[in-house]
Amino acid sequence: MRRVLLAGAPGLVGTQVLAELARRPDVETITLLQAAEPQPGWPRQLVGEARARLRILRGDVGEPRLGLDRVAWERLATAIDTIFDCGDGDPRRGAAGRRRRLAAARNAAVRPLDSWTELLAAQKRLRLHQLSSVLLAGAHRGLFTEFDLECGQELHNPAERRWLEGERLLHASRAAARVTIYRVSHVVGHSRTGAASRFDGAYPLLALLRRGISGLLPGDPLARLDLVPADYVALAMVTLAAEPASAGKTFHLVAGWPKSLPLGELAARIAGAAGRPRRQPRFVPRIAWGPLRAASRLAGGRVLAGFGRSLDACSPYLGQGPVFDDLVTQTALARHGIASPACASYLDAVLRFAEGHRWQAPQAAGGGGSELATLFSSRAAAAAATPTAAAGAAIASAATPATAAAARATRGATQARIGDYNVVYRETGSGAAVVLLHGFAGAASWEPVVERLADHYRCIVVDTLGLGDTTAEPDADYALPAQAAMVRGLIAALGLDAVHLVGNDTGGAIAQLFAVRWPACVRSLVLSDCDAFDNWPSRQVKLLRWLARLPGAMPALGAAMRIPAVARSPLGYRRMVFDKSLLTRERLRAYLRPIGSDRASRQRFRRLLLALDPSCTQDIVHLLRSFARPTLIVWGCEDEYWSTSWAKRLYDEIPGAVGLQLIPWAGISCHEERPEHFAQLLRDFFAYARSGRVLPRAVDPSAPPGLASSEPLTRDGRRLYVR
Amino acid sequence: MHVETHATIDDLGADRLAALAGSRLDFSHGLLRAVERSLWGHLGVRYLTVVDGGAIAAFIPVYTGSNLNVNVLMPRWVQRSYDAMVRQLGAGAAYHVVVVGSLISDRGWIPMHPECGDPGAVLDLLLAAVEEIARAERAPVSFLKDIHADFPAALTARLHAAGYRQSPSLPTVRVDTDVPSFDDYLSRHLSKNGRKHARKTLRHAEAGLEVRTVADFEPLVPVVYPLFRRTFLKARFRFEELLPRFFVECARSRQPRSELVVCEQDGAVVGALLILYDQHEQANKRIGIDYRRADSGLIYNLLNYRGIQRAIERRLPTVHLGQSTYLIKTRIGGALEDQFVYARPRNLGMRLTLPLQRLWTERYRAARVAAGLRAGASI
Repeated sequence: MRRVLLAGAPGLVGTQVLAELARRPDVETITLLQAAEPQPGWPRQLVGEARARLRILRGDVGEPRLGLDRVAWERLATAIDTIFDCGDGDPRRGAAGRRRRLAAARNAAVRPLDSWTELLAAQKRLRLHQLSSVLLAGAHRGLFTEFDLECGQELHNPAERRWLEGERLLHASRAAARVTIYRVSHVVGHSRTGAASRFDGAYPLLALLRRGISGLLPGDPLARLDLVPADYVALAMVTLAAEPASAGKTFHLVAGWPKSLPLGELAARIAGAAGRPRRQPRFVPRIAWGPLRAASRLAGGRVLAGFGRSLDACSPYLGQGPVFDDLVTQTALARHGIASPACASYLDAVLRFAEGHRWQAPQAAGGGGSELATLFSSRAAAAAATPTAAAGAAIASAATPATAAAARATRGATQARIGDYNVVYRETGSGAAVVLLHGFAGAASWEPVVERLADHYRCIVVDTLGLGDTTAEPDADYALPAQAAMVRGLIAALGLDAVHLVGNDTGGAIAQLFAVRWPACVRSLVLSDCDAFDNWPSRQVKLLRWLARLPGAMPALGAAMRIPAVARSPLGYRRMVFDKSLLTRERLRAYLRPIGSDRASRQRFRRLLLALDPSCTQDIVHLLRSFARPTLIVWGCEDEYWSTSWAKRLYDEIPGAVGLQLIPWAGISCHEERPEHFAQLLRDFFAYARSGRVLPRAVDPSAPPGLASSEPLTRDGRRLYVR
Repeated sequence: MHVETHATIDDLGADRLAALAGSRLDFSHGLLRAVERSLWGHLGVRYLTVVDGGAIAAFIPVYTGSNLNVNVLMPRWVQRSYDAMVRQLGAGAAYHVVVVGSLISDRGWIPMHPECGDPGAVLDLLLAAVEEIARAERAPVSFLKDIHADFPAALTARLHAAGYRQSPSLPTVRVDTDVPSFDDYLSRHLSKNGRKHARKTLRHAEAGLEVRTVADFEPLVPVVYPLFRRTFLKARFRFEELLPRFFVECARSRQPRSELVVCEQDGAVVGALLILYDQHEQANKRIGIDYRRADSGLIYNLLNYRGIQRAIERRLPTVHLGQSTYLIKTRIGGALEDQFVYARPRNLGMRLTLPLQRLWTERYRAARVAAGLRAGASI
């Protein structure tokens, strides 16, 4: 560890990490600061040689490639050997961060990690030290170890989901073995001085307890509040970062059960420090949390505005369910004589400092200066720090330009007579042919992806028989192998030799059947959240099949589904997408087309349901095992039908599989939810396939020993593959 | 004769405990020490000893707290309702129970000195001490965990007299390994099909899997713990959620001895079996499998066979396979044995519901479990 890039330096942990790095004479540090942030006062606190080892780089973790131009980016990639990401990726921290919308949290999770993984890919010796949070355990009650990631947790807010997604992305990345994750509990100021650069996180709760209004808080007095001082976190991070063995591991930087305090006892101590009687304060039972929150929202902006906001800010701290184990961290740090201090030993200092600053963060310009001032002798610094000219000068606008194709209208549907079938397909764009096969989401679900591909590819969306507009003779075969033959006939009719084949859901099963039967017609294969092996039909489809056998049930079902509330329910299409706000009327209408439009459509849908036979995908497993064409597996992390373990299995079974890509924040219809991401994956993959190069596997899901820990765990009864 | 209470197992020492009879391995110093050091959450332990003339006449660990999955044998809806209640009302609403016995036992017992003159009186003293603890802790119920069917009837009567009511717990699986060789074991305990299957398993395993035993496995704990955890989370009955420290402490244990059977493929650990043994018996305490693999069943069988082979090599007559996966364990030669929980209710709710709970747990009697297995249904 010689040249370090530090992101999130103004934060509570970042400031202390910077101080720790400054203490090491052989480490040069480049701190990444947003362009909008004023010149910090830290460099003036550093003296002589320590100051010379500090550089400031203007950039933004929220931008692609940190907002740097290509030259600065490439120079940065070669200049550093270690990255510390101590930021939470979004300037809106604390309660505002927790309340923010899912989309904002999603961007905050994905964007910085995209930059880091790109840097890791560019420089093979680079290591990433990523700050995460044990709060990603969410509402889980029970043990949460350094080997867990999925623990059946329910998450309280988007911030927790962001951390979870961040770790999932890192574990799925090619450079997972070079990433070290530090999960911290609630970080407070310096254990000796109490110094803190901001008072978010657990501070609002400490402030409320200081004011003695715990009786209004919906909390569990026996639940532990796991506090950890920032200097311990920083010391542990920098110490572990210097150890090669820490690569690929996860560390819990927490107080743990014995050193943390029950909420009731913490409140009593704080009351004592404030000069009130140290009796055990009372809390409102958590069951009252819902009504209280509703009341606070109703009163928002007027009577209880401040309290309501505070209550929201405190919610994750008032009933901590999980117990955090930190054996790996303890073992690794014991060699260096480092251990987390007990909460009781530094609580007074933390409260004193916060009280002295009236629970208000210092000015942004000097953010973090106070901590450094306590660590370095503050002789008058003659000159201000010199920002780097070369790397930090330019912030390129690397934002993706709006896709020109977005405005391009999809051409109308075309019909082709293939055997017993009138195949309806939609053709857009020019270039190498890409055939897209859909499932229950319908052909329209491919439109956002097609819009993004049509500039360079000839996209052919084929309507699946029974789920789209394709019609057939009365005695036609609706089974999936027959539909694969139908697609083959269409490709031949269009005069195409070989195509890129993309399948989602039922379309993915058809794509598999096609690929193993006519491999020469497949330039590359992309399977996304699809029926495979024996994972289908899902319970919902089984129910539909049962209904399909009842006379009159399908029209009744169609009528029921036309009620938006029913269509949005779990019995309807709720599980199609992760972000439920995407279930707009238009989208539901598109989903409902097979069962809701007319009698003939319903009849086709019914026949398809009755023809579904999972044995067809089980019978081709041995053929998949010899399918050598380039294959990409793309899966929505939040797929509620088929967990990512199925993606892993497909990846393992198909020898031609060169990549397994998990799309966070997306369900079975991930191509609809994240069309830009999906299209980018397709573009990259098709480019690889076209080049004809022999590729290394893009993702190595066989986890290294240290990481193999977290695991396909059950969540709501389903299994998840994580890394 | 009087009762003494100890805060840690180290106060007692391994040698003094080794002199006691009955379930030596489960009440051994090393195992109890490992459990003690890996307790977490609202759960504590103390050890009661009956001392007679300076020697320990009887001994039992007593765990108190709410971090025990006491509903694990109850219907799923009861477990969910209980969890929801604790979530909404706080940890104070959780049942604060007293559990007497080894938390991780294959064969519950109350170890007594072989020359103990009056076991009944000793038991009465222990029960009185437990009662005192339960009263002090305001526990609504106290349990004697997994008392084995072989427990002397005279003592069982005293338990009834003290207000404890018997209900079946999950049966344990015991394997008789008093045979000269593994081949003898196969021919004596397995059916023709079973023998064929066993040999096929071992032959298949030779092709791609490597099985080895590691005595000093502490450095391996970070590698194998995820497998144990994975298996725990997959289990239907999740009793003890063990910390990584438990396995570290087991690795350090010398009384009983411990070893890890590790199954590897291409250098990656895909399965592990934790074995504890002394000079009398062996217990296969925890198994961890990478269930993402298609051949996880093969690995499971392989580890179990290897565990049995180790016992035969050491000439240990008995192996305990634990309280789960009965179908496979009986097919590889295991025999089911009844175990019972003795519960003493202290509040009205428990008094009213205990008969129903006992009725429900009747399904766990070894005979009924065995009948279910014969019918193709495993609990």
